[in-house]
Amino acid sequence: MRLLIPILVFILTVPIELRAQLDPASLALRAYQSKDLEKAKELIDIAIDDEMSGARARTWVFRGYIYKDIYKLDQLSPDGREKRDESIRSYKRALELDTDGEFTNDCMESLRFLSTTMYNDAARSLEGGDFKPAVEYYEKYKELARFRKPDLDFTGRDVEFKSFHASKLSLLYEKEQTNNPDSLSEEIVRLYKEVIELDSNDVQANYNLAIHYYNQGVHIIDNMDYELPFEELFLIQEKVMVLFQNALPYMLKAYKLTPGKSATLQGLSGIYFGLNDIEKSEFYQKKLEALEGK
Amino acid sequence: MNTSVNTRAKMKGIFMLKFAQSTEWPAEYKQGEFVIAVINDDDLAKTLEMTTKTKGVNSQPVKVKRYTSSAEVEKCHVMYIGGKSAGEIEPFAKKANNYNTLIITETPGVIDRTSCINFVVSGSLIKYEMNTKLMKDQGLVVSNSLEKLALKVIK
Repeated sequence: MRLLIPILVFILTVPIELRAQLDPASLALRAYQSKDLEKAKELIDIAIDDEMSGARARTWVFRGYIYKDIYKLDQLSPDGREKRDESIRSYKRALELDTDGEFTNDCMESLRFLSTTMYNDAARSLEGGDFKPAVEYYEKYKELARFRKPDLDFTGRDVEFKSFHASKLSLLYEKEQTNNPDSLSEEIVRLYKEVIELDSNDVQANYNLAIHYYNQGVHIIDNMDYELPFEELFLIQEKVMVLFQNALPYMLKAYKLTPGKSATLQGLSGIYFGLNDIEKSEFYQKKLEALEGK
Repeated sequence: MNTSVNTRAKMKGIFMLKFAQSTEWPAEYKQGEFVIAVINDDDLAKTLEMTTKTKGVNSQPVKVKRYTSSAEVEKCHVMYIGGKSAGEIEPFAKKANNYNTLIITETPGVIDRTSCINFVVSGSLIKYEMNTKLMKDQGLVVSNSLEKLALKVIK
């Protein structure tokens, strides 16, 4: 029903004499009404190349609808997504030409819908481990959302997206499904730090970053070999201690934000243990045991 | 959070095996199993067992033994004695003195007369101090590199 109203508006606003001449835009409308979207697309593409039709906002609005509807039938293919891009381009052009603001609401509503699909694609790509396109979709989503509302605050969305991105990369890292663990680790750290910069009180990001550092250290220790020269063992130990020290402030922050959470108490106990500060490790271990009623 | 690894035990275990590699025992100790006795630290014993599962020390297969009383102490190459006081350590060390045993501890104040190598924590790092006189008394020859990296050496 929501879709029919703008189409009706479009039909009513097409001048009678223009419809009578059966110009490409009118023919496109006919094709659209008879649900022949491919034909409608062909005709509307001809219409926008026409000097007169192409200068009318309504032609571009209609093109936006046609491309959007084609996209809706095939949302997951590259071809479908190209149609979405064309739809967006059409609505933006319509807004440029719509000096009276006649189609502004319709265009903005369609762009809102399309920006939501961009965000969904970003999330879907992250879920599937396609990180590069995920970031690209997310940036496109932001660009479009900012186009609609220049003052829109993305903090919440950025936190959500970057946290999800980092957590997916962490899974790969933990499962050792990477050829370049160092670069992956840097990416994880960068993302969590960006989240913390956006919201220093984000418990999960603080906790996850601490755990990432800690687990890195544990992984190195676990793979230490006594065949290595003594000097190297000391260097490895120093490297591990830096990782544990890096973990500490973030775990302390997570603990400060949620003092009654067993995971952070366990985290602090583990980090201090790794740092060979047994007194503090036992302090948090006792707190954990008290919390768990042991 | 990876809780599957006892980081301290793993680190100490690696150091202990390195100490063992850098020490020379009398000829009669160079055959058969390389015995490491562990007292009061089951995580360390487990770590040593895991780490030496596929390779030994100085071409000898490693056997890890756990002792709970000094009466159980037999001939061994290395003995780690966990304990917070000299009183806990000395009965085991005394028995180990009957053999050419490298005694390792992690207790303040025992390096002067009981322990060959004592773990210490310095700036979050596990380091060690040595008593080379005691090692010589135990019939052990220690490599220079081990001595060089020690935090303190008693000669």
